[in-house]
Amino acid sequence: MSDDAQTLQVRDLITTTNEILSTHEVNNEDIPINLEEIIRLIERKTNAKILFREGSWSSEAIRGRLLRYEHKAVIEYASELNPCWRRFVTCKECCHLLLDSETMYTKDPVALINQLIGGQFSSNLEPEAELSEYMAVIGAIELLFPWKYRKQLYEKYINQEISLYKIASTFRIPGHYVEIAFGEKFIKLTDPIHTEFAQKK
Amino acid sequence: MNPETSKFSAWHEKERGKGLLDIKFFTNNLSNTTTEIFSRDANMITSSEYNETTEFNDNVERNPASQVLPMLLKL
Repeated sequence: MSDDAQTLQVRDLITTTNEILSTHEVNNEDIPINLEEIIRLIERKTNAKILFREGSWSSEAIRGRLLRYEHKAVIEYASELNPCWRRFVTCKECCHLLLDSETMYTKDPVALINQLIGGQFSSNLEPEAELSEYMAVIGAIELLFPWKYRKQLYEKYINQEISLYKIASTFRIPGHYVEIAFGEKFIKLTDPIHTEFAQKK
Repeated sequence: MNPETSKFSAWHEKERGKGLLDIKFFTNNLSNTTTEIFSRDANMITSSEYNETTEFNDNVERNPASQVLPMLLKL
């Protein structure tokens, strides 16, 4: 995918996530962000009832799974996940419901597994599958760690005045995704779009 | 195809018959994983006991950003 096409996709994504965050139900003036309300809005937008299955399984390979049917979706996660991981896994799977087009649906899951396993050194996923995963992660970061807070905390983080752990535990998301959000690639991709939108307000 | 992957594939076909449109995984570190292990774990999710709810239980304490942010920025 070209950089321009990627920027357009991310622009659409940010428009959607900003719309959700700006509703009074979500009330993004509270920290951590209210995921229950985000889910209710996604159910309304997608016209799908979402069911949650907390299972007594333990896997080193899989943290969660989404099953999408026409008018319902099932999000499965292990009961052993801590609240930060449970929130992020659930939000990322909800973002698939919100953002994926039909071309991104998995038609052959065995091929998907082979691509996932084979992609240890570089991404081996089909372009549509890779785009779907990429966008869902960006969507979950945008919703659970919104830009208006990221921009305030970034300098403190870079100057090592605040730890990744402190930020992650405050927003109740895994530290790995705070690190991604403060990475050069993520900032370069999302910051100009947010800045432009903020100036238009 | 190994038995675990065959089992997973058969389950998926059955679910497609029930209207399954899409399946996605949130994966962990896959460096020590094989297709067979991944399929075994996917089958384990299918067969494990679970508690199903219609509401996500986001049991975390929330506070106004106007209180939380100044504390974080002062650190």
